[in-house]
Amino acid sequence: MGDFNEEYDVVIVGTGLTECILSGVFGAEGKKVLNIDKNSYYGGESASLNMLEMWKKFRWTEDQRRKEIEKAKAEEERKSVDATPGMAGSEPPAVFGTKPSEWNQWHISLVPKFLMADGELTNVLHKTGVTRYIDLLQVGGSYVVKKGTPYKVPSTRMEAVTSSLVSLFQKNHLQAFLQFIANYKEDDSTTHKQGLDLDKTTMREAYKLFSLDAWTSEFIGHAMALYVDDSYLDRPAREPIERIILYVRSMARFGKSPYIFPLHGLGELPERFSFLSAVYGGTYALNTPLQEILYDENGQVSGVKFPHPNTKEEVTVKTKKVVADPSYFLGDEKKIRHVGQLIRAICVLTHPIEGTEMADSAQIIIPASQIGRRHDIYISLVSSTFNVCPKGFYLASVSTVIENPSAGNPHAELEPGFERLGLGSGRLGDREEKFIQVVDLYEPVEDGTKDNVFISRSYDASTHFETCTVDDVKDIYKRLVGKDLLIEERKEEPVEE
Amino acid sequence: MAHPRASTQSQRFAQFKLVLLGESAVGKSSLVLRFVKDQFDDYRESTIGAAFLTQTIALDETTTIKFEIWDTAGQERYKSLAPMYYRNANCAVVVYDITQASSLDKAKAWVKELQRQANENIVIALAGNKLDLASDPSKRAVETAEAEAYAREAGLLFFETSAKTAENVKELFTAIAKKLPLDQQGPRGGRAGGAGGRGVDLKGGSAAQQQGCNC
Repeated sequence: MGDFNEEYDVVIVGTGLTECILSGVFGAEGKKVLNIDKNSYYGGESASLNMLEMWKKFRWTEDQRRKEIEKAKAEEERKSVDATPGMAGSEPPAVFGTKPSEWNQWHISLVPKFLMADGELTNVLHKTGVTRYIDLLQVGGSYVVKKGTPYKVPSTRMEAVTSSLVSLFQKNHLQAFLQFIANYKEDDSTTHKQGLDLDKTTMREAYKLFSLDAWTSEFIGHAMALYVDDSYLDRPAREPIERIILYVRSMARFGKSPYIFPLHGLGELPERFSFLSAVYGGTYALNTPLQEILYDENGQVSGVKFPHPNTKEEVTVKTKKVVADPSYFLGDEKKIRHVGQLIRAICVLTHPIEGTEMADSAQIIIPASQIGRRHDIYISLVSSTFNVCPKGFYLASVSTVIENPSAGNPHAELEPGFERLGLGSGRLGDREEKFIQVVDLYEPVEDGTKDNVFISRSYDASTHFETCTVDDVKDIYKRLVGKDLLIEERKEEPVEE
Repeated sequence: MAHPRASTQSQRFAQFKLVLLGESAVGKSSLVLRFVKDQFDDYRESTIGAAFLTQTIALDETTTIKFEIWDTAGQERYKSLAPMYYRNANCAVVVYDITQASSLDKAKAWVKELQRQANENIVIALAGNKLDLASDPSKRAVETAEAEAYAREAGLLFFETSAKTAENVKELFTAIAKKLPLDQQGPRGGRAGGAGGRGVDLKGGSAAQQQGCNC
């Protein structure tokens, strides 16, 4: 069995969802793909970590993590099979498990986003055949908070009638709007609304056409079209209307909410796509940092240098295309641009969220206007039903865009979300935990067509996957290959001979 | 996971996830190919295109076992197997090559990894493959007694096999089947059964609720 090839069609750096989907797509097309990742796990920013990995990431110092890697290396060199590796840092509290098999019952998603049941990502999963090996479960409810109380987001005419979320006067208007959404067909003008030109009319005007008041348009724009701020109001109505249609169609598929989430957490997706890619001959090397990208005299990629995952000796492979996530270019202002900061808290709870009818999973949006902010706070909740934690525990994520970085206290911006979880004023139960992270968001400076280095975008603030991943996958594919990505549905078993 | 399905009162059917582990080129895929299709290819390239196969065996007149067999797709080469690979595995075949002493060291490391990370009651079998090459005694690098002693100590089933001649291949999988707890009920993870019947079916048009999965 040989070692690395001399040349690859594409080298993919990072194993986040975007990178792994691309890897699977290229593999299926017969391209020779090499994937490397500096982490010891699949998924990069979109990984699911077990409790020990969480503890190392959030509670250990850089120094402790470095020592742990050195220890593992030393142990390997001794080829010792019996010695149990002592740990360089503390173990998680015993209530979360005391040994690997217990820590492994946790699959904590770093970016806990939901999939839209009728969305593009779901479609990609289905078409590539990946869904044969992933179980997707529907999320129990979709809520929006008004005056401190969560309400179910109404998405049908019936629900518009019964929902106490909107005033009596608004019910008819909301019904008419939802009727329009349900019936809308692009090529059938009888389903269109008079005076509404999706490419010219702004969404603000569109709401007026349907006589929807400020609050009704607020919850539609934020809890159905899923905008994190109000800048969409003055743009053409097409995108928000399409997003609302997607929400309503996704809702109609399984009934309780428009969202679905994989059993064992989001990390399943990059893992399964990587497996698909490997089945097609793709090569994977974790624990392998990118050392250098090599360029030819025209400034185009000619190769990639990295330490061999087993021997640690320097390896150079030739390639003409590189796809990478932005975390491999930190500090390189020619390659990536900082576009914002999020704060996200992953909370281990022992109870469901008040006001959600004990839902075992939910999305709750606190619109910015309700709490005097410009950006919404997103809460997502999953539980042991999804095999992401042991029975009796719940995993909640609270996130928002940091609006006031100079104040030096970004945690405070999540406070309304913590209150919703029963964790206000720093309250935390014995068997509860908070992992808080400030996340920097990056986008590529150039589109990659000049040097053939195609950099993906960071995952955004929302708790759903529509807006970023699939668009980014399609976009990178088009720039790299020069034509639109068309995923053909696989009728046969993709991995059975 | 085990899906006990009683078709008639006296018939038993159970399905188990089996994973293959071991160093590259010890013959993992060849063992599976011999077991599932009764084929052997002398010049088989490293695993491409096949990583998931199933095979059903009748243990006795009333008991049928279906193995859902996962090959590594080569991801073990740079120690890059995803946790999803051995998550919920009911049984594992850890393979070494009797003509390569170092492959037994690798096999021991995999056994240790499985015992640390996988299901606590996973059934593990150690298979010393390429037994056909032992017809030339100078080629053998791992003595049967040595591997057997290790297997006994570690609580593993043990066979020396040849994917080429089929020797002990069927015996290996049958021994695993006999050791699996057939009557084990309840969700031990795995396919939609572990989702308590709440898994959604994306193939259906709308509001299709799937009850488990007949994979």
